[in-house]
This record gives sequence, C-alpha cells and structure tokens, in this order.
Amino acid sequence: MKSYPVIPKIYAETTLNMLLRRAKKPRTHWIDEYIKDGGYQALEKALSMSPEEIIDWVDKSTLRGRGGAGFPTGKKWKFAVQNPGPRYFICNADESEPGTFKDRIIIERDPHLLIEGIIISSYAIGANEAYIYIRGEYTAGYYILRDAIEEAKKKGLLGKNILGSGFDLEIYVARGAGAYICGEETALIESLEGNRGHPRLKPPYPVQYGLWGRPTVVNNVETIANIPFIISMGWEEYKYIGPSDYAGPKLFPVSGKVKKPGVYELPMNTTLREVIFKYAGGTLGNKKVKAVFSGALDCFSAEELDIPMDYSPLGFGGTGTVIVLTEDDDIVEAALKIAEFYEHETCGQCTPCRVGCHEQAYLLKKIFKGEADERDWEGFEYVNRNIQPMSICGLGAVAGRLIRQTMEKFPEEWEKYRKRVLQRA
Amino acid sequence: MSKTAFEFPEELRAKLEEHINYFPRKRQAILLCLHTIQDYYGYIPPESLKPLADMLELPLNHVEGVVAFYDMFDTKDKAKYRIRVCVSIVCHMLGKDKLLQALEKILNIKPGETTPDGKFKIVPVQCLGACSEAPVFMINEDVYKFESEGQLHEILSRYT
Repeated sequence: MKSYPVIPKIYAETTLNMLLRRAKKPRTHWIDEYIKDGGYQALEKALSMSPEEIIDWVDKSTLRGRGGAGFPTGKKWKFAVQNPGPRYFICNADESEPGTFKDRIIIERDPHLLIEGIIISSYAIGANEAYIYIRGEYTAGYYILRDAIEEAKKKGLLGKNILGSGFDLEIYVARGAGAYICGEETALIESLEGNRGHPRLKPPYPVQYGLWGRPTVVNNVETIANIPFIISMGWEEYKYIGPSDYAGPKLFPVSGKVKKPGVYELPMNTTLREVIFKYAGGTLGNKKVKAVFSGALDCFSAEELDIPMDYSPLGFGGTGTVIVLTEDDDIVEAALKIAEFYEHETCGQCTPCRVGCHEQAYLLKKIFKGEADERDWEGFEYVNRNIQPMSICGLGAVAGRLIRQTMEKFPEEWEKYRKRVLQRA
Repeated sequence: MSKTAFEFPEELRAKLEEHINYFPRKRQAILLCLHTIQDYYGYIPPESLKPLADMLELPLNHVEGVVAFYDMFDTKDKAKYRIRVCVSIVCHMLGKDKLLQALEKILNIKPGETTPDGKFKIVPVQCLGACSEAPVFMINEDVYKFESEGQLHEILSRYT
C-alpha cells in the first residue's frame, strides 16, 4: 500500500452520519470502498437530471457556504449561469484560519465524497474545468487528492463523456504555499493564475469575472461535500436536517481547553453550550468557560453559550470553529495572538491593512508587556477601529473585529492592563 | 571569465516539466515547481529562478515576486528538514512554548535558525490546521502532536 506523509489523528464524531459517515474512521479513502458504501450513485442520478434542476434543488435545500460567509450556494450558482461560458468551478481547500481543521478530515479521509460533489457542481454550472486549491501545509491531502482523481479517471468518472452522459470534466489540484489570504476567493484565483495572492476589488464578483476573467464559482470543501447528499436524498428530505432555514449537517472543529477536541458533525440547531459540554466533554479540569473564539473572527462570552450554531444574525455563524478559553486564560494575551495572526497574514496590498495589522500587533504587544503609555493606548484603539473601513478584502475588514469584541465584552480584563500604565505614570 | 549558467539536474528538470504539462496553462505550475525545487535543494537557490522563469515563460521579476510573497518558500537558509512550529492561539494556549524549548534544547538553535550541519531549521508558523492535536509541528511533510521532550527526541532521530 502506498505511504503518505504522517497525518494527525484527529478525533471525529457525528450524530447525523452524513459528511463524517465514512470519515469518522481513518483510512477510508480508496475508491472501491467508497463505491461499496454507495458512493457515486448521487453522480449517476445527477447526470440524469438537468443542470437547471440541480441548481434548483440546491437552492431549495437552503445550503449555505461553509467557508465562513454563509452565502446561499444555490444563489451563487444561479448568478454564475446567468453569465456566458466557459465557466470554471473551484473548490476552496485553503483552510488556514486558527482553530479550523474540518475540511482536512474530508480531504484526507473521504476525498471521493469531495470529488463526487465537484463533478455534480461542475455539471450544474456547466464547467468543464475544475480546480481544488489546497493549502501548502496539507501535504498528505494533496497526494491523496491527486491519487483519488487518478482512481476516478480510471473508472470513467472523470475525463471525457462521464458515465456516457456526454459531460466532460478535468479536475486539477493546485497547492498553495503558506498564505492565509489565498482562502479569499479572488486572491485564490490570482494564485491559481500563477500570481501573488492579492485580492481583487469586488464587484465584479467571481461569478461574473473569475479565473481568466470568466464566470467562476468558488465553493468551500464542506459545502461541496453536501451536494451529493442533496441529490441522493432530495432537497425536501435534506431540509428536515436541523432548523428549516439553516438545513443540513455542519462540521464544528472544536479545540482549546476541552476534554475531547475534534471535529463534530451536528445539526445547526445545536447550541454552543451543547457543542462544548455535551459533545466535546466539557472543559479541561472542569474550569469555567471564559470565552469562545470562532477562529479569528468573533469572540463570544460565557453569557452567550446558548446561541444556536447557525447563520442567523445572533447565531454562531462563520466556519463553525470553536476555540474554548477558560477562566485561567488571559483575554488580552489571546487577543494578542489574534493580532499576531493578522500581522503575519496581511497580504500587503493595501496600506491600511499592511501597516494597520502591524501597528495593532506591535502596540498590543507593548500593552501586554506593560510597556505602553497613554499615546500607545490611543494609537492602538485608533488603529484597531480604522483597518476595517479602508481595506479591499475581508481580511482587513475583520482584522480588528475579534480584538474589539474582547474589549467590549471583557472591559475589566483590559482595565487591569490599563492600570499598569496609570500606576507607572 | 564567464559564469556558467545554473542548470537543473535532469531528474529535477523532468519533474518540473511534468508539473508544467499538468496544468492547462504553464504559469499555473509556478507554486508546484517552487515546492519541488525547495524539496530538492533544501531551499530555493536564487539562481534557480531564472531557468524556472524561462520554463514557465514568465519574466524573472514575476517569479521573484511570487517567491517573496508565499511564506513557505525559503531562498536563504538551506535545510534538509524544516520544522514548522505552530504559534497560533490554540497551540499557544496548550504549550507551544514547551515544544519550542524542547526543540531549542535538542537542536541547540533558536527559532528561525538552522543547525550548523544544515539539517534542521526551526520555523515558527501560523495555524497548521490540526488544532485538536495542539501543540502541533511539521517536519517537512509530516505532522505531529508534541507530547514530551523524549517523544520529540525519538521523532527527530527518524529524520536522518
């Protein structure tokens, strides 16, 4: 048997037996096993449907993008097919946000689920060329996908005239090289074209002007993995999973101070409290939850644990990433780690983000070390507020957000650091 | 006195050509080629960029710009094994400092430095996407969860 790079043994659990039905066990990635488990039947069914019908089903299923923005997938596809071809389909596997490791499980353990989803999606939007853009650090995932695609080609599931349908598709796997920004869809497209990963101004959106200027759909790995289920179950049945407006399974990568970190597949009417205590085994040492970070995006306090894990305005949203901090974690130190993340990952294209992320981290480090004076505090708060309104892409738009939320939700913790300045002055 | 031009050895050149032919357009293979060059030499020799640019049919300054942008590429330090240590929030909370201390002790170098024999380089990086196993590190293509200094010693001894 072929050997791959060493893969982390991430724990996975599911109450729905859908996306993780096979991936909860390691080493399930060969095509024969996948077909034995009923794989590629959804593709056969999809190829007997019209592309319009598939898009309609996906739209009615209420599936939303699982990459963070939560945009309705069916709507995105509808926009794309309004524009004349050739069109491209891209699978975004550039998962790089702190605490996020859900897509990796599908890629490494059930790649054919992803490939089946890509073939159906490409057929629906009329693309004959599809890409998987995988982050450079997912080495095993890259080789597994390349091999899985070869397997699928040999079975006539990729290439010319797939299963006698007359539909042709090639899937190419591209590797990133350590740039978080390439998860932003327009930066990803730039990178796929062989350029530096600088985001483009939107509009025009990729569905209008994407790869090589053609209409392009960019979907996240987890989103695409839902497509075969919508086709095989039918959208009506799919809609019964979880709340009706936010249907379907959702993967929640849980990490930080919990007893059973791992990836959990749950319906979206689960609450944050249930994710932490019912599934992830509660906190290490049974300490009190202090805060939950949804990656590097939002900060939730212990009073907010009863929110649903859905995309509603008060829901958890985002990629579903749950990073648990407990009573002995320092919130300012945690905020500093987030600031350092953005400092490192800003792409350098727009000045407010390039300079702002750097200044934010530099000043916050001074604050954390107790070396900041009044002017540093003022500067820090000013920079934190002003990265957002002046940046091209979403990274700049959120670079100050989580940190600002910690200031609003944990003023007493920040006050401790403020006092250190006043005492010294 | 003319300086001999840098040339790729035959096996490497064949691999790069395979990457270039894999994609619909040549320029799309740039990152894949750079990964392969780095794996081959232990870093990206700056003089290798001109022949690569020629193969990709891109200007040299474009290739240089791409190399400088992407974090995984190293044009300075030659190291057989790059140890990438996650310093993001989850690994930080769960003991990445202990991991770094153990590495520094075993290899006798600081983060960002390379051992004098050119074998290991410690590279602090942002999230590696295996946070349930925190603290996490990679050695070239392999991912590991750090447990103890002894375990780290044992893992490092496998890389010869």
